[in-house]
Amino acid sequence: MSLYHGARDTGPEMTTGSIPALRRRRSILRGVVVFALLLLLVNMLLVEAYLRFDFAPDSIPQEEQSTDAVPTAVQHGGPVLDLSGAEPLTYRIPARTIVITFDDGPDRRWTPQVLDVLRRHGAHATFFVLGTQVLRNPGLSRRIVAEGNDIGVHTFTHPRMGAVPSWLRRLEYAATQGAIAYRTGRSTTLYRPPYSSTPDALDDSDMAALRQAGLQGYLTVLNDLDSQDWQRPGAEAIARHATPANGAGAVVLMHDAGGDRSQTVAALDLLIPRLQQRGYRFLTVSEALAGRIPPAGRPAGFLAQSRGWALVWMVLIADLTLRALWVLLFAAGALVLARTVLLIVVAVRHARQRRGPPWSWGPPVTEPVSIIVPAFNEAATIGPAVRSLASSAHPGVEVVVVDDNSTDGTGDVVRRLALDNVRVIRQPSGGKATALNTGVAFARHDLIVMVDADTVVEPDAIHRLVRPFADPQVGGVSGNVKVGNRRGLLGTWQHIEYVVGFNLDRRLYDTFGCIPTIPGALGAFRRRALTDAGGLRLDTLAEDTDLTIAVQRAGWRVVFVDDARAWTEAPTGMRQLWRQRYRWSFGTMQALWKHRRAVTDGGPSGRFGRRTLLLVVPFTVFLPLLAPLFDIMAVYGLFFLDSKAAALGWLSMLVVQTVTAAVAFRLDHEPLRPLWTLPLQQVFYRQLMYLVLLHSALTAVAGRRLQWQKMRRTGEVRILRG
Amino acid sequence: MARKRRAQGQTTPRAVGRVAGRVRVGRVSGRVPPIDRASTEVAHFDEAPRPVFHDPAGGRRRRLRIAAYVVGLALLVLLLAFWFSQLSGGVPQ
Repeated sequence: MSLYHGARDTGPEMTTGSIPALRRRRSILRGVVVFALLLLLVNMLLVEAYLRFDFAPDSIPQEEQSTDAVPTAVQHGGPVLDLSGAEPLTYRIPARTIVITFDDGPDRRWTPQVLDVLRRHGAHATFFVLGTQVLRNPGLSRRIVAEGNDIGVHTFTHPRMGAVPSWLRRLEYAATQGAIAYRTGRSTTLYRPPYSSTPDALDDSDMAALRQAGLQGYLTVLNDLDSQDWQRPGAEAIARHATPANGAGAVVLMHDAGGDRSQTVAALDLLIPRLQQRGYRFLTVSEALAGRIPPAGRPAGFLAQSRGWALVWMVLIADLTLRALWVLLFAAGALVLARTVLLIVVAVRHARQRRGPPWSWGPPVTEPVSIIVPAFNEAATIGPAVRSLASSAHPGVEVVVVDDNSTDGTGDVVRRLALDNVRVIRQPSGGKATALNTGVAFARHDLIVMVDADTVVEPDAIHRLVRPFADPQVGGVSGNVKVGNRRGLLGTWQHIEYVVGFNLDRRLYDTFGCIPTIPGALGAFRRRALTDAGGLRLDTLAEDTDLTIAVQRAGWRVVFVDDARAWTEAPTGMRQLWRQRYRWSFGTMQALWKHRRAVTDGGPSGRFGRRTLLLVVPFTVFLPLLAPLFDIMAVYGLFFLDSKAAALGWLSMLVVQTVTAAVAFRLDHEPLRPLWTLPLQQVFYRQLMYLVLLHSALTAVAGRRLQWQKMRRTGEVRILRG
Repeated sequence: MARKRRAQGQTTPRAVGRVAGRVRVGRVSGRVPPIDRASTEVAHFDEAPRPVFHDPAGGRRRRLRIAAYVVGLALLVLLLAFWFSQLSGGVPQ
């Protein structure tokens, strides 16, 4: 007496999500959340890119520009400019006073040495710092101020200020001011533009930026003398260039970062005592011009310090984000390489072993076979499928078609074939797993093959598929499923995916005894193995994966037979493909989660669980989830880092994938021609696959119920001879 | 009592093979269903197994949704506040 249970139709889930207005509001909010997360990632990457922007040093020669817009008072005035009013004010340094200025720091190596020399000689100087350097060297900024020196803004990233838009200039000033305020507790009114020189070298392109700085409250400090330390002419020459003539006062330009500054440090040690002996004082800008200009440094207010605090944390988080992305990228790269090497070595060995003359599964298997074909609205494809199965070259084949309450006359199509060894059983709507259970219950034989209704088998496929049952330990066998409709890019990409999946991954899992899935398209089981596994369960959408795992946990071996080939229909449209993959990845997650306790089990279940944890989970769950990093970092690197290295990295991944696919194609005796589509697959198909995986993961976490979704069939499957 | 006696005496006719319709054997008459139909009655279990990950009450989904909204909106506000503060800064007066 055969009993089977049909799943009750529970109807659509009644939730608040079914109220249209609420649904609309939720989808808007969901969009906001996704937008915020993407914005955050983009923001972090852009902040990092901005921080790492490579600046050209001050010494880069500039093109000749017009000077018509430069007021004469500025051209012929002192090096300290106040451009906040209608009329520019300029200030000169008093006689026998030297204001040494250091640009581009603070630098971890050279700034402390400079400060040591200044302190030794009781001299003060003015440091025009870069915001990025202040963030990276917090202690040095504090020391500069604590030792009585002035600190001034030299922008955040050292851009050519005349060439950047006004909002970016504003950001450059504000960010540097914030960094200084947070690190030192002081604000500053001093500013020196990057690539600046003496007042008579100013041109029209500089004036807009200088006026903007003036309006924001900054005094611009240019210089009278360039020590030319950037040319590294030797300490004596630097000291000579920095010495004013006839006892005049001067602002001297030096650098404490941006290269080897040992000559600057040595020159300073020569210059200061030498000029001090001649009556010179070494002061900061505000000391030298005390009473004429407002004090350069004041305690920073709460707002300025908060702004700096926010900036520091933003940079810190951006640094951490990028570092985490790099770590994950390297982990993913290592996984890919390990997988590739393992796959190729093991798969080639597996193929050679199975195809070699000494290999045998044992005595020929001639026991009769029951083939179960679950079908729901498969009228377009089931005819060729059943005909190919019924005419299989194996003694005693019976085909049991389980019609899952189809409405398109699937059962009638099969009946019209009038094949003696084919039975049709119609069941109330219950889903694929229930249909398979029904089929198993009605099957007359103990060797049971399960085949999808859209799959055509080769004449000897069934015979080859059941050969491993000569080994009494084998409880399940996976066949080799190929795409039977390869038209278009989508068909070709799926073909590549199937060939790689079956010829490399399954061989690897077979070798280590942890095949996670006997595909529903072509698989065979012993009835006892099915009974031990408890039949097909209804609590996952990947009933084939669930069953395969259960069979192995029950102590049965599951193997892969590459020459038992079936040709299945792959989705032909994006929507269909998305639905299929969504169900597959969600179902696989369900099955792996359901059997998670296998990892800690003893005996065969534990062995299987631990192997799966080591081999299947990293390669089928973690790696696809990390795959977006390859694209994100490639794009980021191309635009903001070393574009050659980024392109090389991306191309190497392509090469690795091409080699892997080529090996799989050779093992499957397939022509290599479809592999030309691999570069395109990298920029489209892979992204689709990880979006599907992400969607499935979110569905799983949210606890949503995913239902079976019927694929649209075209019936275009045909057996292709390689 | 009479029915019990008949059973004990093996007098009740039994349908064998594909017998359908009305049968009359001696004094006994009744409807006998075809055997194959009788053997394939659908047996519903009380409850279908709950799908893995499924949260029928929706509590997990609700908590996750609220957390995502709060985090997403907070991130958005923080980002906007950050960039506004950076772009609006000048020399503190």
